[in-house]
Parts: sequence; structure tokens; C-alpha cells
Amino acid sequence: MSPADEPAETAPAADDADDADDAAVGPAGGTAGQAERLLRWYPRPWRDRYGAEFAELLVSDIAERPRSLRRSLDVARGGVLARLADAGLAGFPLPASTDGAGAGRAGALAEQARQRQVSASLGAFSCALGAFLVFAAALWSQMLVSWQWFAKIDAGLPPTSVVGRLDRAPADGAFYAVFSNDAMLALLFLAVLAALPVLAAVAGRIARGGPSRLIGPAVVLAAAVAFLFIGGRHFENNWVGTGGHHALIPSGLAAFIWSLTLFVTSWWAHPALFATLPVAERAWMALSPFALAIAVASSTVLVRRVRLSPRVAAFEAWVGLLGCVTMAAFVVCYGVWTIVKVRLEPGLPLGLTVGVTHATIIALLALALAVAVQAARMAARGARRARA
Amino acid sequence: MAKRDGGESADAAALAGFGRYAGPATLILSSLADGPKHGYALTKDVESFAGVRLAPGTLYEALARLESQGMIEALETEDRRRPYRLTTAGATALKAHLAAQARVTEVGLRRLGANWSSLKWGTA
Repeated sequence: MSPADEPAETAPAADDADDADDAAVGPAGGTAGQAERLLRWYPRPWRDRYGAEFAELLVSDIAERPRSLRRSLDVARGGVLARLADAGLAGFPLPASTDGAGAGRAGALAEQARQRQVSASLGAFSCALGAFLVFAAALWSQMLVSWQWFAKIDAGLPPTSVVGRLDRAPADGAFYAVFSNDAMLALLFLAVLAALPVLAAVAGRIARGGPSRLIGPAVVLAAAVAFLFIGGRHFENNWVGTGGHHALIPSGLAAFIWSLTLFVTSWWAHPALFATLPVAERAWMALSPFALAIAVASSTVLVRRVRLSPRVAAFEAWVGLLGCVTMAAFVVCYGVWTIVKVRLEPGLPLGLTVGVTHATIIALLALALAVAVQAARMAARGARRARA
Repeated sequence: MAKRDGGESADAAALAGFGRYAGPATLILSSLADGPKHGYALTKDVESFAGVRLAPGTLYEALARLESQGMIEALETEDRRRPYRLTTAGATALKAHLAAQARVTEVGLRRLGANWSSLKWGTA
């Protein structure tokens, strides 16, 4: 060992000899306390792996230089990067602990780390996709149900004719509206395509007596989905906006999703108007976002924990990249359609203005898209390396 | 044992792929080429031979990257400090990287000697 060991030995956290230094550093716990506070920048898995040795280094460094803005900023930056890496959004996977591993296992541990990174990236993608779907589906379903509603009550058109009329409409806005509709349907299809192998893997591992840490999030996800399905079906058929019309999208998909995402509305900003809604609907609008958040979070946890095979992980990453293209198409088309304040055609009293709600949601969609792109790229890169 | 892969250029590229961490990674690997060291010993050793003090966050960012790539491996913890040592893959990558740097250094010095022979060392 090098002579550089010596300073570290003079700076143990509980050493009486360091009392003077501790007092010089500050009242909140001395060097050990300061190191502990700096360590909080890092996520728990990183602290579990490197925490003790990193704290020891910080104690030695603080003993040598009690105050250092550069050190604080450097640790903060490293902590943020470690959190991004833990979420599967930054450039390298966290290595597994090598205590007792012995020499020569570095390659195997690196391989395990790569697999964990792919799982984390796919988890981040599923989280971003879930958030995107909630808000994009809200916009999409409101758009469709509005067309249907206005078409029926104002123009006397049969609801089933609306899509066909849009296809023939010459206005640019109609093109973007139809294209955003197609993008959303494609995205829903891709989401189902991506979910099926994961659900099959989770069910298979639980059935074979796999790790119990899958059971908790699976039960929570099932409960959230059941709650959302029952509530969505109930309010889909009773909410004045849908009027029970299900003809535009097969099986009433638009009406169902509209009722699932009723909370995405500017009514929250108008308490007097909001208070006129029945109590059950207000309760649904308050509870459903939590159920949706729980469903997205538990899905993310399952994707991170299920340990997909390299082949399935590569498939998921490929679907994720396709999903990013589709998400981008929806954001662009819906954004253009919203900005041009499309009117479907003369006689249909629909014109949207870009209000705060729309602008906020489109910004959220863009953020979710950015996260999804990064996560899908990381997952695809990791999956390629894992299969190489 | 960590596997060797590809030729020299691939090994050099492995380290260059560290981007802005290629510098710290090279310093750490060069330090570990002398034998296993823990974090603080690495900091002091790098400071002594390169005149650069690696900040704690930067040091562990690079250590984690190197470990995830299988270029270094951690040994048993000694009194809350964990030493790291170079793996074969890390030694191969370091050798290729330093050889590439040496070629650049050689060319640069030769051209300076040919065209800037009047340049006095140590002046700005």
C-alpha cells in the first residue's frame, strides 16, 4: 500500500483526535456528518455499493480541506449522474458488489451490470410511456368524443361517419387531426405489444415460485387496473360528455379512455363549475390519477425486476424505439392541429385554442418523449451489447 | 479472468468511449498499474505523478465506470476502505490507449522540432 494511506488513518469519524477538526467544520456533526450529508446526493443502490468507502474518502478529503465549494459541486454532480444511471438514463450500469467474489469475476459482474442497466432503461421507458399515454390519450379521447358529440347534436351526422368525413376533408388541420388519431392507435397497439411479453414473464416467474419481490407490484398493478377498469366503464356510460356513444372507435375505446382521464381538465381551475358535478364523479376525478400513477409505477417496478431474457429485452427495446417515433408523430401532429385551431369543416362548431391546459400537457408530452427516447436508446444499446 | 477482446484499436476505443472520463480513467488505470489502491491512496498517487487532484465525485464516477466495464475490480474491504486493482482487460485497454497517445506525442514533438526549433521551453 502506498504512503498515501496515512492521512486516511488520521481521520476516522469517531476518533477523539479529530474533535478539533470537527469543531472547525461546523456544528452539524463534523466531518462524518458533512460526509454523510454529501452522500445523500447518491441513490440508495449506489450508497449500498460505494457508500462506506466513499464516505471514508470524503472524511479524509474534508480533514485535509475543511471547506471546498468545488468538492460540494463535484459530489452533487456525481450524485445526480448516479441517480440518472440508476434510472437507466445515463451512460453506465452500477456494478454489483464484489465482496467475496474473488479474482477473475470482473467480466461476469460486468455482464450482470449490463443486464441490470437494460432492465433499468426499459423500466424508465415504461414509466415515460405510461405518463405519455395518460396525457396523450386524454387529449386524443377528448378530441374524438368532442367530434362525435358535436357531429351528433349540431350537424345531425351519424357518429360513424365522422372519421370518413375527416379523411376526405381538404383542410390541413384535418390531416393532422387524423394523423394524430392514427399515431395514438399505433401507440396503444405498441404498448400492448410491449406489455404482453413482460406480463408473460412475470406470470411465468411467479407461477414457478420465482422471487417474491415480483408478487407485491403485480398485485398492486392488478388492483389498480381493476379499479380503473370498473370506474372507467361506469363513468364511460354515465358521463354527459360521452352520452353513451361508442360508435366512433370500436368497443367504445375513446369513451372509456376519456372517462379514465377525466381529471385532465381545466375544470379544476373553476371551483364553482367543478362543484356542480355529482359527488361520485368528483371523487372519481380525484382518485383516478392516483390509480393511474400507481399502475404506471408498479409496471415500472415489474419491468425493472423481472429480468427479461436478452432476446425479449432486445425486442422490448426495438418496440420502444418504434414507440418513440410514434410518440413524436403524435406530439407534432396534435401540436400543429391545436395551434392552427382546426375547424373540422363548415357546420361543425369545433375550434380549439391553445390554452394553458393544452400548452402544459404538450410540454409534459415533450418531456416524457425526451425521457423515453433516452431510455429506449440506452436499452437498445445495452441489449445489443448483452447479445454480442 | 476478464476477457480480452478485439485488437489494439478496439482496446484503445474502449477507453476513449469514456468521453470526458477518459482523462480520469487513464490516470486511475495508470495508478493501479503500480498495484491495488483505495480511493484516497489513488487521489494522492495521481496528484503526485500527474499534478492533478481528482475530486471525490469525479474519482468514484470513473471508478464505477471502469468497474462496470470490467477494467478494474474491487478487493475485500479493509477497514471501510476498498482497494481496487487492474484487470487484464484494463491493462490491455490502458496499454493501447497510452500507445496511441505516445504516437500522437511523438508526431507532435517531431513536427515542433522541425518547424518551431526556435521555440524555448517553459515560455508562454
